[in-house]
Amino acid sequence: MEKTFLRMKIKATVRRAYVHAEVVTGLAHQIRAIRIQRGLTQGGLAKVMNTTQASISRLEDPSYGRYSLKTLLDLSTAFDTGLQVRFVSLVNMLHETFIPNALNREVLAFEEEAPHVGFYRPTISSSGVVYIAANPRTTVTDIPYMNIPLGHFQSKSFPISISIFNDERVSS
Amino acid sequence: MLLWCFKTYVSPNGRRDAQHTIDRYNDSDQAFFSRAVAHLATTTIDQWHEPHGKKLKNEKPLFEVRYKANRCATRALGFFGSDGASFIIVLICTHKQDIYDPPDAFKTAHRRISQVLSGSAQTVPLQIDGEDFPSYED
Repeated sequence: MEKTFLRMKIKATVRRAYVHAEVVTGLAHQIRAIRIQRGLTQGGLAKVMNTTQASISRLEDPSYGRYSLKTLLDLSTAFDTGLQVRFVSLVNMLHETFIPNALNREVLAFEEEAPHVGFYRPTISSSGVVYIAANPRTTVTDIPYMNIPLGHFQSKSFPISISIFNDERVSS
Repeated sequence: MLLWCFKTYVSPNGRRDAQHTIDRYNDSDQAFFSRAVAHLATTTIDQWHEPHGKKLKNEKPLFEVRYKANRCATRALGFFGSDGASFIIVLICTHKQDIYDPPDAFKTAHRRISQVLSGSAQTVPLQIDGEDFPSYED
């Protein structure tokens, strides 16, 4: 990664090329992975999105690489997922994407995930509360009052971290 | 997590054609090639499907990495090493309407695979920007 970073420092074209290639390659892989996770063929997803199988095939091809925001939103609707499109530090992007994590490609549909999400109200409980962060980068303070049952994520082989807090929010 | 390290073919007389082809790519082509490799490096064999990678029919043990370079559909032909941890690129060619260029690409690829397996040809780690790629150190 270091030499790629050093080339990025010297040439803006290297930076632009990395962002372009990683975005379209990563998206193409993830679209295919989620479609398969949903048990859909390209034709099946095309039907859900009211488009053609050839269009879905292009979306899964990094060589095509032209994604409109509307298409991405339509995909998030079809997959019943969220979608984050935002600008980030290129240094962070390089760090997080240089070696991709294939486990992060699949995403649960909201309707599959929702039954396992609960909310903790601090006024109700006077003693220990268990917070479970589904994403290792998520801190407990990022998901206040949320309590997700452990069993759900164990069965899905999700990476998890658990923190137990008392009322003073002191880790035990 | 990396599942595969990538290597390139070195001929019995020391030529590294595949690596030299990659080294000559412009910034954009090199980025697309390296990202194609990076994503496949974390992908199990059973998920090496079109349009990212492909097991070549009737050409066992050949697989291809699919990407675009010089505005052409390009294929890095190779095979999975017996160590279960490496993919060895033996040849880079182009592909248009089911025609591979050079026309004897498969024949050459199979010959090179035989050379690697017999030990008459060597392999070295694939390099991007002069460093092994993808690297476990990253």
